[in-house]
Amino acid sequence: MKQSKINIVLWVVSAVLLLTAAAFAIAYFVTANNEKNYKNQLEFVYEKSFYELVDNVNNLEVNLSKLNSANSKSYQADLVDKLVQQSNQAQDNLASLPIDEQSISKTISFINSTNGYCTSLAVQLAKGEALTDDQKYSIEALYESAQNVKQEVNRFATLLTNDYNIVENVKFNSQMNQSGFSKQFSALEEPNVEYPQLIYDGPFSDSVLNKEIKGLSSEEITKVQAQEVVKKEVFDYKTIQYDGMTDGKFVTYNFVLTFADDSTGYVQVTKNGGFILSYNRTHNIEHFHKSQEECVQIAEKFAADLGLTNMKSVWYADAEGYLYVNLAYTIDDKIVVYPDLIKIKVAMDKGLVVGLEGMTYAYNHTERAALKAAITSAQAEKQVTPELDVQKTTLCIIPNEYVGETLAYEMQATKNGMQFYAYVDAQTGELIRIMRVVETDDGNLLM
Amino acid sequence: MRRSLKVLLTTIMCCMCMFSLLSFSDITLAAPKTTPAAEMHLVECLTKTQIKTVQQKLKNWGYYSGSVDGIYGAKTKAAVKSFQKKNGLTADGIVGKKTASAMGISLTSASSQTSSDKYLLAKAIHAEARGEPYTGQVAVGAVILNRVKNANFPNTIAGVIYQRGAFTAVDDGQINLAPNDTSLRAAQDALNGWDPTYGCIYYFNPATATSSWIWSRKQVTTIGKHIFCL
Repeated sequence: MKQSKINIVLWVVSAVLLLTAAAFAIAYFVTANNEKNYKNQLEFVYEKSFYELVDNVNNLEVNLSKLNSANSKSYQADLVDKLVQQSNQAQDNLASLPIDEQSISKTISFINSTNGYCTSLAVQLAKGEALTDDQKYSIEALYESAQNVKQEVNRFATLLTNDYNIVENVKFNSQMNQSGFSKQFSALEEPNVEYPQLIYDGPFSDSVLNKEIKGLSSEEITKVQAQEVVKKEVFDYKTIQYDGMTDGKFVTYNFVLTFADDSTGYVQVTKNGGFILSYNRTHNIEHFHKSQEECVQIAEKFAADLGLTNMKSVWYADAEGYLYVNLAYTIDDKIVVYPDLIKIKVAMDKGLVVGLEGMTYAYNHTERAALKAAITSAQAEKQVTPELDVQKTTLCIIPNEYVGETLAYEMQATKNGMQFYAYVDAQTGELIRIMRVVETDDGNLLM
Repeated sequence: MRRSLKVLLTTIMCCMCMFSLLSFSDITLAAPKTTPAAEMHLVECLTKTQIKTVQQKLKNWGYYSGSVDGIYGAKTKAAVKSFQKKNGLTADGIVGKKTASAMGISLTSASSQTSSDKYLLAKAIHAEARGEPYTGQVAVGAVILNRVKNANFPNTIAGVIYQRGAFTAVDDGQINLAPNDTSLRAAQDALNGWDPTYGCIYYFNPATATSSWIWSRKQVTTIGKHIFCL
């Protein structure tokens, strides 16, 4: 009797365990199947990017070789346009592949430089200028590098057709080691692989990345002098404490400020010339009391209190209770110098200045030599279509897209109720840029 | 007795096999955290979500006690009115330009593309640098934007953030946390040109850095726990 009871219990326990095991087995196979599907989908996305990359690189190589064989400007312009497009796509596809950051930076750099260089060539050809011998030499060098990249991606493409699986070769969450897939590209990143150095003004160029600083005096100040620049009556802080230096493109003394309301601030003063390069203060906004106009005045006063004279508000935008006021240097209260820009951030509740950004000003501000326009404002106005109703034309200095600046006529105009700004080069009479004012609740936006 | 014991033992063995199979397989059972759709819409400013935002804000400030449902009912209207009264606005119960601006809400989205970039940047800042001083958060945003402009990195904000191995907080999934107000503000400042590092493209925490390579970069500044380098 006792024996049979134990038997029943054992049978029941076994049955329960078996059922549980079966349930787990089913769950496992379902999950495994799902996982397989996800992996496949991911593999397809990666392979699509890769096969497109192969196409892009192949086309880059072919078109670079054609560029140096062509002698017609219009055909060259056509090729350069294609090269810009193909390098853009190559960049997108390369960025979609799971390659470790450090395993690919040289290749990314090569594709970006090709893109930047061809963009600048496109501008030149559009102006009707022919390619120089130096440029042809650079194109040849780019072509040689492109051959190398082409060879590597095509070698890998052959691997893919032989059942190589990208997903299987990507070890996720491994910071230390290169994944197998990343290693596939290491041949392109060897120290002895050289990519050409290119000299041009355009995206990713050295002249853009290593811009010369014009706005700071060569006179160096000490830490104590820097602290005096952060005037207590302007910043209204409770305490100020030195917080080390920044030693990069700009050398600054950094200070941490504390305020009566327990908020903190961070301010950076340049070693050269003692200029307040950057400032921000933590602050939470609850209710707005100040209008945009009031805040603009507050910003202008703040700049003046810091000794930045002749700064005039040129536009502002509001974001979540903070007004970002852009102040530009003006010559004789007439010519607005857009490159000499500082941004001041005002909290719209109490009207506190909670930020300042002066990097653009520090880069560009300088005494300009006598500015003389070669054309009259009436001549400039002829450059825009008669459909634009020009209300006001003034001289100003605008930054070029990449390097340098241009004296230009700025025309405020309207068409069908829309507001435009047009800029005409005051030396050559060439129309440089048209901007449209897009009104939003956050203030006016220039597009 | 013997037979049933045998059955039990076999079953247990079977189960153990199953379990070991399960535990050694590389299935991750935890579902990835996703950003609630509402969070996204808040940034894109859609009508129904706008109302929700209004309700949430009024609720936070103690004007509204109803549910945050995106329906502009009598309760919401009354709450808007009392908010307007308190803030010296015309108490008409309508959320116009002025009232919205007083609440810190933007009614039109100037360009959804820009705000989604800002949101993504804020997510990266939040994941990488929450708990850092505000300047340190702006600096992390600036490094991402400096990379976009640099030839050695992808050309878009998303490209830089999702580049494999570039940011630990992306690799381990912290990027999916919803950003807070501070990181959104830091993202806005970085997009507006603030860069306390003046062109840095790397940063690391010396206490946890695993790569020796990073120490070879030129160090520019230390903000909070991070060293920023060129």
